Amino acid sequence: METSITKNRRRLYKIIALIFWIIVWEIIALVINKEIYLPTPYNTFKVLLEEIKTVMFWQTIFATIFRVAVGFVIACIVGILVGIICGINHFMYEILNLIIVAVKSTPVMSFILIALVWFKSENVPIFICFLMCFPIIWTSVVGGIKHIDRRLIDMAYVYKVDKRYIIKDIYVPSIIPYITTAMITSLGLGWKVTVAAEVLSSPKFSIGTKLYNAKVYIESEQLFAWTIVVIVLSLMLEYIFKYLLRKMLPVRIQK
Amino acid sequence: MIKLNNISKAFDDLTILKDFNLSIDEDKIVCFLGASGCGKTTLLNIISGTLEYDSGSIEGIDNNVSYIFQDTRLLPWATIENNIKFVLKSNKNINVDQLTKKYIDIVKLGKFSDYYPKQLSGGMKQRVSIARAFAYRSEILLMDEPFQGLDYDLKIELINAFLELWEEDNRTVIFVTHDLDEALLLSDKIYILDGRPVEIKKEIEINIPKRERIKQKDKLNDYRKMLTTIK
Repeated sequence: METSITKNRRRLYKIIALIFWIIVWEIIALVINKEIYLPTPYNTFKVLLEEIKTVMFWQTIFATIFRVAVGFVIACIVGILVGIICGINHFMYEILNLIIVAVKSTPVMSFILIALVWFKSENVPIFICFLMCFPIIWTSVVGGIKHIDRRLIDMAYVYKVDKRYIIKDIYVPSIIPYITTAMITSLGLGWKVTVAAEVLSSPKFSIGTKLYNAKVYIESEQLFAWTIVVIVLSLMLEYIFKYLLRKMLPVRIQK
Repeated sequence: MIKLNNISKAFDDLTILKDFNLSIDEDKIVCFLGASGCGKTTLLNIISGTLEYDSGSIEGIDNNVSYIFQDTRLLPWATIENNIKFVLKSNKNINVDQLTKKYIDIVKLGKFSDYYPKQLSGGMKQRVSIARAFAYRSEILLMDEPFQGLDYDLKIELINAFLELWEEDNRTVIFVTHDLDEALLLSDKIYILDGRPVEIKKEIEINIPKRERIKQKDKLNDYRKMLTTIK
């Protein structure tokens, strides 16, 4: 009972905070009084509602979600597999680590511009999403393997436990908390860099292209409306992903 | 009979064992008693096969070995039932479910089989570790300071649980400790280890039935004095 009261109160506080910042936005917009710099919340939401009614809106957001999903899933699969190999084999770790350090230190814009030369515009955001998410997943898997309790492995060795059970019952549960945290972090990052890559590569259907066009044609309401779409979708994806993880993983191995 | 013939082991310049010889009778409980760091655990790890020795040979350990660790080494993400199953399921010739249930019941944790180690007290966790060691089909059971850090009452409770299992399922037990009480209450034979490289200073047989030792304090005290004098 108390928990549900606390939950309801928290939800109420969040709604109040949201309303508060919309009011602040409205006041600032009224003070500036130039839609081109800062459109009012009313005009922004009006444009947003008009967009939502169009088929193009749904095509656009699903195209972007698809690119994020593809880049993210490939990064997870490759990151986990390569991470396990590098976690076990130190030589492989050193080989990959050099590249990962270089990727982490390079500005994302450099990669987007390079990718524009290499790939078709539709595929640039997928590649960028993969490139930004992969190091996070890889690092966490390697870290997870390095932190596995050696005493448990020794115990399994004494009791002559099959290797497949050692991997399934010791390695996997040990690294899952690391992987899930990394996945949540990289999903948020992947979403942002995908949209950034879309701005520069301008595929036919994409949120990035919408943002770019709004900027080119100085349609500030459009720019703000699509930014709101990006924020809402990012939060929704993260929420859905966390929910799925909670449903899929046993409570004991969730961080 | 387990025989250790001329076993030598050194870590860099530090020689722990040099031409160490020992014979251990089957189905007896023997104890290596000695101060911390004297090389007891090294000896146990060599017998368990987790540590390689430099030279010598070991006879009589052809089959599996169970091990009760001081720090229990339970999988934190597995229930106590699954912790026991974990060491059993690689063996296709046994009924894993039946064996697991049997040993969980013997250590009186039947009600807690779906609990996780985090939800159990130190003593309960060690009981799981004891159940796991007995459920595993082995002829030799090794123990490394299994009751260290537990208060006296809990220690006695665990020793009784251990003896109950051992009486039902006799096997050769080799354990190391620096605790006189543990050694006196459990062992058929105590080897006192000391020196560098380590050697057997004295061996003492205890001829009091294990279950009566707590009651026969005077007799036990005679052994205690004997051991203290040697130490």
